[in-house]
Amino acid sequence: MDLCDRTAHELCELLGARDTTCAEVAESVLGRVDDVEGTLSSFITLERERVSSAVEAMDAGRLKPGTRGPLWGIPIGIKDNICTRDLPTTCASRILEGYVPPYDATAVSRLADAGAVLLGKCNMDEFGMGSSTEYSAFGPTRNPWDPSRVPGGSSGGSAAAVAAGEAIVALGSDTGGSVRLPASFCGVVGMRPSYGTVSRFGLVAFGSSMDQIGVIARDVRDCRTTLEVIAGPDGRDATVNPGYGAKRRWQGDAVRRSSPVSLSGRSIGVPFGALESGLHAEVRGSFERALKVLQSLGAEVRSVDLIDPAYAVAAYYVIANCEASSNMARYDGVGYGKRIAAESVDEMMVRTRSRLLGPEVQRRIMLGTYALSSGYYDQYYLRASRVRHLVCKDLYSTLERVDWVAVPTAPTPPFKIGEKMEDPLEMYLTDVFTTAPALAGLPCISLPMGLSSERLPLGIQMIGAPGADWKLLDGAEAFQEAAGFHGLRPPPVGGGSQAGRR
Amino acid sequence: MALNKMEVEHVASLARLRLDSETLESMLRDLGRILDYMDLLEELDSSGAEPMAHVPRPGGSSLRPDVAQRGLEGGLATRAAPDLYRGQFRVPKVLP
Repeated sequence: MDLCDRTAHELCELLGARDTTCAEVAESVLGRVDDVEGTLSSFITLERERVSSAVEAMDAGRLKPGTRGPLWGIPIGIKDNICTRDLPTTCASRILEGYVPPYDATAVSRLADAGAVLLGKCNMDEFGMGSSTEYSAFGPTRNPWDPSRVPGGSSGGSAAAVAAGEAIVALGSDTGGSVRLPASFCGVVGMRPSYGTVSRFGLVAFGSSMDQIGVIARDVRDCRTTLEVIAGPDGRDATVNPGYGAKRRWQGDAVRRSSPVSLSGRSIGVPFGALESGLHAEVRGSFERALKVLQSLGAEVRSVDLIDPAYAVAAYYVIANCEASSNMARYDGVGYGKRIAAESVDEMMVRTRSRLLGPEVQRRIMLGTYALSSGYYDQYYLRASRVRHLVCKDLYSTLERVDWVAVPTAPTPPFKIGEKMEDPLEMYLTDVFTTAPALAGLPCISLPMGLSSERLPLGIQMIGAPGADWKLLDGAEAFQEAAGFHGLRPPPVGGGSQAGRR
Repeated sequence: MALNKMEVEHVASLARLRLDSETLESMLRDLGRILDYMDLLEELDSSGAEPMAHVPRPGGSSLRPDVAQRGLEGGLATRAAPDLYRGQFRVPKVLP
């Protein structure tokens, strides 16, 4: 097995025992990028020299003592809507082409402090608005399991990179499913922490009441280690809840070893009623087998009644688009980003936004502006906010009776590139199982639960109580160890290099 | 919820967007379908529920102490502006 196909904790052991070097790990990853990036397009920016000189300094011990953190030497990809000082952060949009933020996001600086090697910036749907990574202004990312299919979105570049060995771990962001869906489609682990576990300082805003930075990794243990590093208050995001992430925040050199957990005495709620229609047969079969795995670990599977997820999707797309229309007002060609010149300031803004924002972003701005406009506010935004309350209460009270709720992450296996591009509503409905926990701010994780007959990855989503992120990881790890699908890697992808094309 | 062209153009102007005639047609169609789906929200009786703008925060807000801190050093915050003149953002004439 190549170094780039190993997990972070395996690499940490090899590095700790001096069986390999940071440079060898980075070389292996960059070699894989050379092999597959021409096909996959997982990255928007990747600066080799920067990576090479960083690992050289690490191997030579030219860094200050005490910097050998739990992710020492681990190459990490960062979704391109998370700010990196001195590395372009484009949000996959023409309007931010070439934009270099003056600061690092808190999550990024914490990864660097833990010794991680920042590889580059991963492709995504423009501003996080999409479920397939086809809405990137720089072209779609392809699924490493079948390049004719989408990797899911919006963090598709992050998920494809981790699945294909172009990164060991990656950060994504999840507003309504953007970490979990691509993790499911690419056969990797993707966690959206509780709203309030990770600081969003430096995450470009989309739907502020739901945006969270999440982790995409090859297994639950890597996901946990990375979350431990990035979680906790930092004084720059008042929505961080000090009770959620701080306790387990990385404090020193030791890599925490997690042990397998039995699920005896634990219960899992499944909304069987909501799964009756609209579920692909293979997803259903695989999900039923996954439930048997959970039962074999001693967990009790209980049927629970939840509000039909169709209502959650509708409420989500009203609220997210309203918040997006407000957040996107900052792209006016004045403070940063690109400008298209005109005689008047109004015309300058109109030209700039109309020409440089992509079609899906414009559609969402339109929807949000409409839903917030005088005469429609009550009908859409206010009503959606009431439904959000119901969805939240429903999940909260269910999670007082069961430890976790489980559903498939996506209703279908990964779909073909282009299949849903002409039908935005169909694209939205891909998020049918991921929006409800996002509306409620709950921690949730997508785990590989098998492959379809066409050898396409399928994922199960476990949802935990508010703030119970670490307990959710315990349950997820128990499932992973018993199910054993986290070792699966996609078949070799051909391609040639276009990395660093920007 | 049927939308007409004038409404779509009005919303576009509020959002500082301009749609060409082809985009206007597809926008009309797409928004119509999506808003039809959103009308689903009427089916659920939510009249008794308080509108929820953000998720519950059991610990309250985590505000830092009100102590002055250094911000970004001079010029860093404005360096990405498309048109900077003597450290100020420059825009086309606002008043005719």
